[in-house]
Amino acid sequence: MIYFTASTAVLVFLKSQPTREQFLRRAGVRKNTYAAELMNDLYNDIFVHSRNLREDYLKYYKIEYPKFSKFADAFSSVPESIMPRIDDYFQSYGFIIHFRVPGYLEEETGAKKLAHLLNTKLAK
Amino acid sequence: MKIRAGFVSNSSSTSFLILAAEDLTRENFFNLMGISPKSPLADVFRELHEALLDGAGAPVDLQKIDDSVPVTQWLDGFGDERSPISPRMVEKLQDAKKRGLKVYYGSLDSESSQTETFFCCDSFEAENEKFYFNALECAW
Repeated sequence: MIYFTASTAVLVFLKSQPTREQFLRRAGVRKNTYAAELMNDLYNDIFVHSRNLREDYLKYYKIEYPKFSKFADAFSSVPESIMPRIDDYFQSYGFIIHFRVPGYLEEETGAKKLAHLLNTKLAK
Repeated sequence: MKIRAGFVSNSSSTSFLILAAEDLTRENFFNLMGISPKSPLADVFRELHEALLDGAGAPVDLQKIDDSVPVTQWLDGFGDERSPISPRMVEKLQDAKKRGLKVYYGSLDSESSQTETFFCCDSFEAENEKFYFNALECAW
């Protein structure tokens, strides 16, 4: 599931992390080309350089915030519309990742492409 | 006096140059970039392809350029102070002339779509047996 937190940033909920090979295959890119380089960078942006909020919470914040929703509330980038469901999401999704999308994936059309790449849906 | 609150940024443009043995059709371009027409990102590359063709206009046939003209004067705007040509590109152009290749050249603009802005600010090159695409040279 993907939520916009700004026109250029998204919050992604995933049950599991795709391998790099799966991600590149879904992107329909050929090895050793510019498109593959672009998709490798995107994979790194999402899964290497971004924070998994779930993991951060369990590792560093669980004592301070008894519920994930309390921690998420303090994390200003989580939209209010998600808050009523976020504790359920925390139970269901292993990866809760917030990241800034590259220019070619901005706005709703870009988020739809990202949802396709991550084999998930864009939240309404 | 006017006071502006918020970001102020200047625009940018990136010069590109494509040496081509064939017409830069969408199929050829997708093949060069390594993207499947069925990819969820096909739209992005379709838009880039259109931006390149719009920015370039008709390709230049290098064989029609007189041999006495220096390489830095082959292409309008390429080779001047704003957009110098590297020694490596000079070599590539000379070789392309010998091989009878055509050149698409122009610039991408950061004040158009988000997709074009992204590629305008990126720096890359791509090559296969039919094309050489240089988008490394950037001018602010």
